Amino acid sequence: MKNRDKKPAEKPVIEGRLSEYEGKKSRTLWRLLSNVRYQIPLTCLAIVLTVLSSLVPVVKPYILKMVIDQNLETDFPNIDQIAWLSVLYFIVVIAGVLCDYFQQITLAALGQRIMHRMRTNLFAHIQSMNMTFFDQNSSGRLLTRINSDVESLSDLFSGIIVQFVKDILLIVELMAAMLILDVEIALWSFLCIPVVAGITFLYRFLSRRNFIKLKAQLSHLNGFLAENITGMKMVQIYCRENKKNEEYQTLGKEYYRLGLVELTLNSLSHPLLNMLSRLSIAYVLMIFGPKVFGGSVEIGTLYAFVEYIQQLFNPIANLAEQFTSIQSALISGDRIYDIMDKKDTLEDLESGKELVDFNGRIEFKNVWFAYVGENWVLKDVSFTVEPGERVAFVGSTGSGKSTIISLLARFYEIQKGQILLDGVDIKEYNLTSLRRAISVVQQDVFMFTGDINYNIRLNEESITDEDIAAAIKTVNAEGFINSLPDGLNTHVAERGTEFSAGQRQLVAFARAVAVKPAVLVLDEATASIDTETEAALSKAMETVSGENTTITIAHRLATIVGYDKINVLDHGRIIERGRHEELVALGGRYAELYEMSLTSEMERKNETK
Amino acid sequence: MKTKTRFPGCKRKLLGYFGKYWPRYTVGIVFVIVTTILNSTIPDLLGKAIDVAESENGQLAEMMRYVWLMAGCAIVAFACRLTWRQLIMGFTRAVEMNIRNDLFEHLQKLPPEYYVKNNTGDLITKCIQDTTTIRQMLGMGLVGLIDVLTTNVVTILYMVKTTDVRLTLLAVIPIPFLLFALIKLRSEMRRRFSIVRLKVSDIAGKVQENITGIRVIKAFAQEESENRIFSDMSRDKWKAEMSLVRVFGLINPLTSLVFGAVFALFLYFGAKMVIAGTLTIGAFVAFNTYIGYLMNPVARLSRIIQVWQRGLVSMQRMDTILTAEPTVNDDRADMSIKALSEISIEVSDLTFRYPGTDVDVLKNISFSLPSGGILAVMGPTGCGKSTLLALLMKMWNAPDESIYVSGHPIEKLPINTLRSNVGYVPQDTFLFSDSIMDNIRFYDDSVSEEDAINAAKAAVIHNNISEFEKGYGTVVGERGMTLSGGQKQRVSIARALARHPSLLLLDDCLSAVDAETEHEIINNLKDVLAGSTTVIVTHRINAASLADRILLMNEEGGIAAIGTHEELVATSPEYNRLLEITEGGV
Repeated sequence: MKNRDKKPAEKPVIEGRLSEYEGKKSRTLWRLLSNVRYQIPLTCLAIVLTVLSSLVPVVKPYILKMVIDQNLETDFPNIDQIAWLSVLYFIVVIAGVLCDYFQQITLAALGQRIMHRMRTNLFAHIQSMNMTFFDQNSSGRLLTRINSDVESLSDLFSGIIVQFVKDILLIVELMAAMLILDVEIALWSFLCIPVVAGITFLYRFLSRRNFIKLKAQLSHLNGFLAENITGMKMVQIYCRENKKNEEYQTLGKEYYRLGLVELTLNSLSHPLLNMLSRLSIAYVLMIFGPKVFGGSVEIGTLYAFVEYIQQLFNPIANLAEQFTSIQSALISGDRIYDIMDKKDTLEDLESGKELVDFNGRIEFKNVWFAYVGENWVLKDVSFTVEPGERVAFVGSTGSGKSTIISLLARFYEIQKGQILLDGVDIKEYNLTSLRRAISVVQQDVFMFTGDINYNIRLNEESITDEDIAAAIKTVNAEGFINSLPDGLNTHVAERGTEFSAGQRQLVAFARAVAVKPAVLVLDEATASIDTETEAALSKAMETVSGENTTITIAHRLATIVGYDKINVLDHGRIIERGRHEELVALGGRYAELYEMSLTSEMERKNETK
Repeated sequence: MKTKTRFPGCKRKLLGYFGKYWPRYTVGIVFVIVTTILNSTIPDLLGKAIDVAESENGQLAEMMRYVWLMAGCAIVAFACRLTWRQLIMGFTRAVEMNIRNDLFEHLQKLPPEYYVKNNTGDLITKCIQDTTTIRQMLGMGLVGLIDVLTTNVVTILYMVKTTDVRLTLLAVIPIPFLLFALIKLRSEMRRRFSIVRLKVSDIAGKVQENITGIRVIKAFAQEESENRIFSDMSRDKWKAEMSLVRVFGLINPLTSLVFGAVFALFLYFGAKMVIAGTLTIGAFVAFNTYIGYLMNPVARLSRIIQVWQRGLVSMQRMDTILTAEPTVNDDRADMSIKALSEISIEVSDLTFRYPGTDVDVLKNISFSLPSGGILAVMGPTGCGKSTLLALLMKMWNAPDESIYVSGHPIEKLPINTLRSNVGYVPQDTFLFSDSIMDNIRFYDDSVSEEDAINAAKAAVIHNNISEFEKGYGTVVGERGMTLSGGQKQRVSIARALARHPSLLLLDDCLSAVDAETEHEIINNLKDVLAGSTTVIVTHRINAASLADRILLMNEEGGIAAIGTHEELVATSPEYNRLLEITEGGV
């Protein structure tokens, strides 16, 4: 039976390496925190507001104490003083409310700004990764990074951190207030703190590991859904719904189980703290009892202590909760930084020479390439493409044809040899200008959400409407586009699934032509287009290739008969090269392939006769 | 409540779970109430203890009796709270899991068009985040509400009993006004929150799309401008969040303000009563604490409101899935048709348009395909070839009596009966990130490993697979990224062949395969197809050569010509033109 364990678990934390992991976490925390350096004024404002609003819960009981001890407990209560104290109380409340509101706004602004920065940086970083990175990382996982992980950080900045500061401030202020009121009782009361802190710590310790698992399981669920929603049609056609359902439910059940563990931990810790808070009132009364009866302590002080000690519990209990949230944020932060720190798979789009006025001279000099390790996909490949030439690559599947294209656009780095463009090593050119000069129509056509117009133009403002019209005309897509309800403005839903493969190919072709590239590369581009469109396309290709250098990865040999050069690839090596007639005359591999492509036709014709 | 009608599907589901688990939930709620009552007793006991300390002839022992009672209440309340948390929260976790399962199950029934119209990222968000929000609503949301209500009632009773009706009224009167204001804020918050959700979905969709289409972005050097677009979307979300906070942030301060005023007034009037001797100091202190007890739940109410709002938004979102009806179902099927031994197809005068559109995609298509027959369908891009295949698999409802399968009108055939006979190879290959073996067997235990290997041989992929280090155990990456397009197509063909389908539907499935391999596959297919009724959509005369008959479609979705190759050569100018194009290049 299959199981999901085959998938690499996200960030496995091995027992023995926990301390190492801890170290990493505290580094992550500092790194995350250091983000506030971009928002210093807002941060300062938030801190000021936090300090002010933390004072309110300390001042309020003190005013009450003054009412009780200085008036109610005395024989000559001063009703005017009580009135003034009431007014003072209300002023404190208003000040607290204002601080509170603006603190929330400031914090949200701070959090959102930092998030925006991180999200866009992460997105930009991921986008500039090279293809190897995308081959290795599933889109589901990357999606979780940019969406959920950044989101959990938002909680960190908008709430947790300042709440954390506020809680600690509050604890300190309350302790100070208690000490001022009565040192002895205060010290006795502080005995509660280690108990509460101990429970907090224990809880934190137990929940941590479970939480990591819970998160990993959630991202499994995410990945499963992403994949199955995309492949739903196949599941339906093959009636595999039940099997997939079972698989999904197994994943869901494990998530549920982990959730229950979390629940049990929570339902122990929270009520326990709640109980301790109530018990602390009894505790304070017990310490006070003899003293009150001895007359050395006043009721107002007792009241203030009851309030303070209960207030003390909230921030300590909050800290426990915040530890969980911080943990979750740290895990997310870790994952984000794992990607942000990954510089070796980063593409440098900016540096290097601009590839301008590219003539289209391409030379591969003894190129060796492997996607992984030493599994050579291209072995010692050399060829040249002269400006204006039409060059084709043929060969069976897996012979390395498509790889050549990926190398031309420098999606991957070669291991040995050299690729020269106009005599200069491809590595010296600036990637952006390189990819603008060489336009690729890929095997897997991809369409973006938007309209047809956007899909042809992408974001290139320099492409005019006339250019687009011309490109559409060149690739004979006019008929298809005009038949759409809104023509060029027809909406394209996710991945363009409502268009046929042929239609998508036409759009991709138009997209490639519209940028007026120096070199046009077609990767089996005409494959899924019907024969008629294909014929029209190849005529169009002739027009285009009259002006451009054209490289075609072909398997329908009919299209390349008139080409200037044909390279035959076999298991990563070029085994034959020449013009169509020469290669046929040679009687080698090409002739064999060509023969085969004709056989069916011949058979057919013989039958007819 | 007017929200009732907004999510009938989701509500029905939830009521279903409640029906099953209500005893557990009810017991839980009883414990919630007991916990509340015990907690509310404590300030009263505190007041009494203080009064004992204050009175002239108070005894320390008497005071301690109250103190011990307080401790007792706290401990029992702890036990009760622990119990209800386990009972109710455990239940809500189970509900969350069940909703999630139901959602997925329902998704599996929805037609392909649903996935065209709905963005994958958004569907995932609904399955994961929205179910969590609903769980919170049923848990903290509902329990919190009950907690708040009982706390308020019990507290008010204690206030009246221990102090004074006028003072109690002073504390209680602002509550309805406060609640009214909170409800106003709540509806505004909800509106703003749904905007936030929308922005989150937008971002998720954008990320998903750009990662999947990264090659195009790179090939056209679009990184910079895509970053700008993304940055705008991120900024939109930030703005939406801020507009939410501006309203949400009012809730706590508003509560503090109202209760602060109550407190200040009580300070004055309460103190006056103490001086007048109508209120004891103990009661004064207890009353103080009770005001806090009233305020905390109302303050909590804002959080509960938020949980509810999120929950209701999520229910609404979830309902968009649950109420989406599968367009194709077995409602009209004759469920007694359990199996089809052989498949013959009769299409008579089939005209079809997609629901909600006004263009016929297929026009007056008629043909018959005997069991074991092979039909090739050719025609220009977008002429409806793939639609025809979809109709044969009942992915859409064909007009009544326009398609007969083995003599049954297709609308009478149960979906499973029909599809269990179908082997389909799509134009766009999709492989799951599992082993190649799993992908070929496609989680079907009735397909043996041997079947799978034989199918792989027929699809000319066996040798490639054997070259992989892990052979058939090789896990193909997400969307099969580690395989080339041609290899993926061939695995996909093997998947169809492995189950020896009596109806094989091939949708232009050799497009990414080179001529040599194509040739080999076609030769193999000749053997394999012997028993299967087959429809091949193709652009290639080569592949069409397999067919007994060829259906040539025109751009409008009608039949341009139909017949054997010879007949078409003899009679159809369109077919000859097609031949010329193919041969002309050679």
